[in-house]
Amino acid sequence: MDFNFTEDQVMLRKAFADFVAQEVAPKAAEWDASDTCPVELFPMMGELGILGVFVPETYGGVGLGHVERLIALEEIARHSAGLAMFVFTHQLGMAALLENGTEDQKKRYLPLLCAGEKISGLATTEPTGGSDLLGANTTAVLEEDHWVLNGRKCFITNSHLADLAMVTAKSGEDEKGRNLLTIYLIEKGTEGFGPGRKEHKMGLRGSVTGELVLNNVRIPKESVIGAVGKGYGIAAKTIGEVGRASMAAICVGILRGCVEESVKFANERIVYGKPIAKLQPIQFHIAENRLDYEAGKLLLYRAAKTKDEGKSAVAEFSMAKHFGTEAASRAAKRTIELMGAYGVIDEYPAGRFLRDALTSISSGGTSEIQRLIIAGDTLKTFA
Amino acid sequence: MRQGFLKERRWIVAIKKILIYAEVFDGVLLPGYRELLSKAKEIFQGRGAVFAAAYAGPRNAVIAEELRQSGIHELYVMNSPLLDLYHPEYHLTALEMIVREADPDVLLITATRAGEEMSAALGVRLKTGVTAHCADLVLSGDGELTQMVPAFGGKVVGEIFTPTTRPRIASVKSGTFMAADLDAEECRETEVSAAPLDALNPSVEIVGFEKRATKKMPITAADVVICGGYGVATRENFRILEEVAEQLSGAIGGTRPALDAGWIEDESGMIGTSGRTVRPKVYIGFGVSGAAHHVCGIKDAGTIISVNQDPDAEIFEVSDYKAIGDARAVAQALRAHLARSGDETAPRINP
Amino acid sequence: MNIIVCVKPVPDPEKYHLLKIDTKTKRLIREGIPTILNPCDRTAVEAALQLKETHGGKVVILSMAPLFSQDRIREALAMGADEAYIACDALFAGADTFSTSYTLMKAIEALGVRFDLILTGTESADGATANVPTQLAEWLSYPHATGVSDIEVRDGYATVRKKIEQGRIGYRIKLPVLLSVEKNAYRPRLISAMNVIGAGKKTIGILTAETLGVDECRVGLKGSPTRAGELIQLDLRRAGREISGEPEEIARRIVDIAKKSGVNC
Repeated sequence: MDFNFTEDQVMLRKAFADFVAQEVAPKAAEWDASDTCPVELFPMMGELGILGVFVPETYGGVGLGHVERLIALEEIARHSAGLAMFVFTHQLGMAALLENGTEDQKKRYLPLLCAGEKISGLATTEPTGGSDLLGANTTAVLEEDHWVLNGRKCFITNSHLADLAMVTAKSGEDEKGRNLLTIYLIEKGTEGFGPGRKEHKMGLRGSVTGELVLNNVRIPKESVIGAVGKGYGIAAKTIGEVGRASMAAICVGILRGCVEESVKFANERIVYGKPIAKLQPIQFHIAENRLDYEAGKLLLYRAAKTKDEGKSAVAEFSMAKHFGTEAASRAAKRTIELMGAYGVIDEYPAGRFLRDALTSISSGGTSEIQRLIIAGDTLKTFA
Repeated sequence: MRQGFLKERRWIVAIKKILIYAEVFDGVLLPGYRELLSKAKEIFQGRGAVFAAAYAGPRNAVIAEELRQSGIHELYVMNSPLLDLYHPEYHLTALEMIVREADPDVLLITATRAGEEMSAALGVRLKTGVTAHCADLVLSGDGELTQMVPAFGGKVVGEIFTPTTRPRIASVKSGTFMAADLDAEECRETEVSAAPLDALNPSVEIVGFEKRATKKMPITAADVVICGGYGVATRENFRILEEVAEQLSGAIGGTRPALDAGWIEDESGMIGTSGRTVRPKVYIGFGVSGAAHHVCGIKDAGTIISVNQDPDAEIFEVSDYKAIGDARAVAQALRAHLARSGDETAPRINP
Repeated sequence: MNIIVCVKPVPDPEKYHLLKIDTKTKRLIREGIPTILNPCDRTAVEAALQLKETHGGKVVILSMAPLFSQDRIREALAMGADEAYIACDALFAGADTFSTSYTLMKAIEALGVRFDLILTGTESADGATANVPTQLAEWLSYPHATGVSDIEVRDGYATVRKKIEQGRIGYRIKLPVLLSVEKNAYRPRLISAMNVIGAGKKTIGILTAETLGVDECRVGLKGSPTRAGELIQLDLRRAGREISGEPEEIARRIVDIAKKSGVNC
């Protein structure tokens, strides 16, 4: 059991960190304040291999795994959780395509997505529910060689940006009368398909979240990703592994930010004639931030390594996501308190950390859902 | 490795002749020459050493006379129109020929861009040691030249010796030493033939020269130096410091963060071992933390006043006066105060 | 076009404040200070890569460095260079710039390739002598120019602009030539994930004293005409008398002090 990253992974982390220091860190606060998404960085991230790091080389990727993908997200989220959200949502679409698409679909779209020339996303949530994936109201009807889709999706990240959206819709019913979902790839500009309202979020600002409207959208038969009727399984797996992993990685980035910022502040802030780092209550805060960070990091990369070894990691990612999001929220609040009045001033990132962490809780399945998943796995494996 | 090498030496090389390179640009003798000569005379005084100068450039009677009167015993010149603007092959060969002719024990060169190259190259051509960017030159007890060099950004200063090869070559940045008034000595002049230059088949051709717009007062010459560091935070704030410098008829400088942020143009405005050493009557630093290399650059200033928010800033240890406060606020207050005292017609409001 | 870039791993300058001198041995304690690629050298690598993109050819990285700093050399490789070599041998230890540049010269010769351009940074962050580029050129008998920008190559000549105090001199130099590149002349590119993996797969060639056939009297401490003596930490402490109060009060005091120190204001 080796808890160390490989030499290549260490070098990769440094390369990602250099990119972040140059292109992300200086602008993160501004993106958050103005809620602008830095779409212009996409081609550069494509060139640096950040987007397609987990995609095989034959499809334009770097040929590495999810550990490397999450290292990149962690580094980005250390400064801009919003940008990390934008990136991983794009990767959700790529993952769905990679694991379920036909050879032709993969060859056609993945290279463009890896290069950052086209943006992707995964749209499952509807007004009827996010956790209740199957209760979708968006319908897909097969008419000769075309599918016609009708419905509305909400709280979809990259809604206004995606060139290639992977959308779930109800395509039929099984013998018990339960909904069967299929995943459809819809290109931007397809008639009847487009973004609706744009949401203004409390956190993870800098990523775009909004509605998708489908009004008699006609798409060719070849737009199906995976098999007809298998959409639920694909969506659940993609969200369960890639989505949750990414939220956890974002929160590990936030957690590291909390540790670094609280240490920096504690060493520099002089009160009663000495740095507050000398005061025990402050030291306790710092210790707790550290604990949260280390635990979050371990849970995350243990899950990622498991997936990279080809094993199922749903419960592991669920644990990592639950812990990461909750711990990041705790740590951010703790960091704000450590910083006193400075913690609530926009010049310091602690407030942004808190907003981003809280917003992460409801993405990729709420903490309640995670607990259900973890309980289900525990009751089975520890019986 | 430390003093052990002294046992290796089989003889002590007595220093009898010191040759100093006189760099001239556009017909003007650069100040580094006098600074080096003054230092050399200071440390080798009373030892019967011969001081010599080397000039390689277009024939210039005015410069030649200036050098003859500068306090040296020997003057070596190579005159050639090929030696106008710095040319790596011509200037190197010229100085090499002069050194071979003069056969000095020590060669001192001002570490200008040209001087850096020339000293380094001569080290290989003459198979001898080159100690670059000396912060000080000292004579050790046994008459050996101790070259003091800052390392790791000036955090430490190391002694460097050139025990067995000659000449010992040392380069020193302009402004490190002070030029003293020196009495002229009887000076013997040797003209070294420029024929080797004509025989060279140069690979380098000068194709142009862009002069830099002349700047404000060089910080190495000012009585007052205002310095802005990382704590100044913005270009706007730095401008306040520039105004204060002007009000005091002083010069504005910065630390490395100021250079990186673009508030100062280049190393000529940067105060520190990789930039300039200053010795003004008064140095006032704003938002300067006190990194070792910067501190080395101000260690000989008359009065050091530092303004910094951080009561633990390292700069305070090496300052005569410390003001714990916001750099911007103090700078603004200073500017206002100086404006008031300078403007006698302004109505005074008595508190 | 074949280009070789000489680089040096150095202790991270950002961490210099952590350096201490052991009071007993008078040696510098470097533990805990990470090693990075000399910042100036990244610019040189970038210049080389840009020239390769224009003219084709190969970029080789060379360093005289201890084995443990291999990762830093690999970083230069990951920027996009084709090959990397380290000249490494116990005999090379303790070298000053004279013997360092001699060793680099032997390494370049041993590679057996005619390099049209040798690029370096202007100076290292730790020693900061700026000697090696010129000295290496002299050992190789290459024409050279230091502190250059705007490098262009055409018809067997390189044109460059060299910064001096009074402005910039334009040179046209017949290849092969050694150039040290001014730090801000080029912006070093970010390293891509693909290149990290690619560099990880490459072997860094190790060149020993024997491979290079060096003259033992010219390398390492033995070959160094300069020798180090003591390390001294300067005591520059001053009184540090406090000036307190509001900014206006502080300003008034500063002006008083300046006047007393002989400044007209």
